[in-house]
Amino acid sequence: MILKAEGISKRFLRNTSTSNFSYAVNKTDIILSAGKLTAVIGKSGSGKSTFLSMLAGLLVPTEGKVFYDDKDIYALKDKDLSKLRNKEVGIIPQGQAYLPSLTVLENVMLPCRMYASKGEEEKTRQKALELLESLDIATLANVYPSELSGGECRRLSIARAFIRETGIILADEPTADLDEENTEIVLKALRSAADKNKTVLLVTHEKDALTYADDIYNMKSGTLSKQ
Amino acid sequence: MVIISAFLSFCVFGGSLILSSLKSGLNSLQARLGADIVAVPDEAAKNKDLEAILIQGKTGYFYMDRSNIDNIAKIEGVEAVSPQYFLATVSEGCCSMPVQVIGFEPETDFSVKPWIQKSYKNNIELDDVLVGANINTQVGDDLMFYGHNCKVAARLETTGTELDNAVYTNADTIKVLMAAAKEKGIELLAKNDPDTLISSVLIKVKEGHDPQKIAGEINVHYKNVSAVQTQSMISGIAKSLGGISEVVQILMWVVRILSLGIMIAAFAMITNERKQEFAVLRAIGATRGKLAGIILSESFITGLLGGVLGVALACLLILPFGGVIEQKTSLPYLLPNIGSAALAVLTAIATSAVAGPVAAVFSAVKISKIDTSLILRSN
Ligand SMILES: Nc1ncnc2c1ncn2[C@@H]1O[C@H](COP(=O)(O)OP(=O)(O)OP(=O)(O)O)[C@@H](O)[C@H]1O
Ligand SMILES: [Mg+2]
Repeated sequence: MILKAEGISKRFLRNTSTSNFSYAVNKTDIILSAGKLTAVIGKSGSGKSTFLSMLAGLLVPTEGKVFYDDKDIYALKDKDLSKLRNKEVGIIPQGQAYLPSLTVLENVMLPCRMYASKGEEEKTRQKALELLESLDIATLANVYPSELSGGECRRLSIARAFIRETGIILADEPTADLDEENTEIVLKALRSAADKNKTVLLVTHEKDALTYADDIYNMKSGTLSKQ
Repeated sequence: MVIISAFLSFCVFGGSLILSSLKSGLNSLQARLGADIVAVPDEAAKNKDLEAILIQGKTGYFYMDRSNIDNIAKIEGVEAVSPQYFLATVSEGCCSMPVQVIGFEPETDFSVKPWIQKSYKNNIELDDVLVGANINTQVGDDLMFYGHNCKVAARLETTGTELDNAVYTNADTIKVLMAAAKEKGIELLAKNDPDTLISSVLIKVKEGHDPQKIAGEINVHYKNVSAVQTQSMISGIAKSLGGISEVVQILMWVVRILSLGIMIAAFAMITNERKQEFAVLRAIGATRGKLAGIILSESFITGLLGGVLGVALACLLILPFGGVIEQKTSLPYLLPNIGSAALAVLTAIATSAVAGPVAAVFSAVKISKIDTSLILRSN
């Protein structure tokens, strides 16, 4: 899967001294190809999360287009885009993100259940447990996410992003609240996803992370530059 | 949330339960009276409690000469006449409050008998009394009125009116009681021989004759007698019920609109708190429609649960207090039959179940437009 952004911008209403709006992302292009781990670094507020959301099909750009292979995703109907997101994109959000009424295991299985075909429940459960095992939180499978620590929450998000084996993985600072040992686990997981021919984007502050990346971009007030 | 919608259906159901109870109380009253016209002494017609004495068994008494029976029976268009005798008394045996003793002639009666026969089919012997459902005695007990002993032959079924506090007996027995009352110095009885007195004459009009004309005729021809149409008495009560039911209805609408407003606000708040959850669902592939659907179906379940809870609560609170309501409104109060009660239950629950999604529509629309990126950025 090739993910391509062409001149995408995102403008937010904001009163500044010169105008009443500001660009979080400004006319940015990127091409992410399968089998590569691409890292984006940048200061806080430089537009990294906004950029990632637009790539994920969650935020309509003010201008520009996003293509998955050759499909213009924002030309799709909501129904089709939602389905595409479910099938092709694994998102690890920056914040804590879970359904508090479901257990950790159920949260991880959720993307598979959303467009479930019959008889896959057991397979899904097995896969979810393996993922939790590899992220070292298998013992928490049946607790509710509100009891988790920040790092455990993050690993829940990672397991949920991996379970559909989507062609694209978008990770927004996935190692932000992890210790060294777990940071390594997560980065290795992302690296091995790329090695399995997936398209991986990693937004990070972590200097260590850069050693795992094939390409590194720097985001500065809404524009990307290659390093 | 469940509690708010429980409150909604509690009010709606409770209100309609009380209203329909009052209405069915009134119906039983109308059906039971059976007479088209009641003739009473002139001075009684001026009594503002007359209606209540005649139809609801409120205590009170008045007398006129029994020759009026025959006079009225002779009038063209009168099908049947039957006298009644009223006597108010306190019996140490059973009751702390005055009791209305109502005497009727089993041979001619068409008003009380059909009702009494549901509870008591035998002949009423001398000194037998039949007691209303609220009189606290057992069949076979003795009741003492003006020093005269009577035997309780039967207890009558509930009517929902003060008739449940009355005691019924035949003409012969009540004449004995009236004589006993005369001995005790009841003023109204002092000058006359109880044998010649009656309290009222119930009149049934033949098909095709106008009760109003006959009543008018009685009023013109017999100076000391006043004829009242029962239709007008009952519609008097019905009117006051109509007034109350209007107030209750308006209140119910106020409650409905108020709770809908509260529910809309509450759903908006809850949905706002759950924004992050919906953002996650959206990120992993839920369509906008699906998010709205989740909110709507959850609100439906909430409404349904609340409805069931509210109705249960209303039953629990209102059913035991029928007597209090009857007293406060001084209107007959009889619970509706199973069929219409079930209908009221279903209506209330359905209203609540529908009110849920209706109140949640705003939130559903709002959440379907959620800016997912905003929420997933950070906490
Ligand atoms: N919905 C919005 N409305 C208005 N301004 C927004 C909105 N979303 C983002 N912004 C602004 O756009 C800019 C970029 O935000 P973004 O979240 O992409 O930054 P970031 O690089 O991810 O920062 P961080 O490293 O702290 O996560 C910021 O100035 C932010 O305030
Ligand atoms: Mg960010």
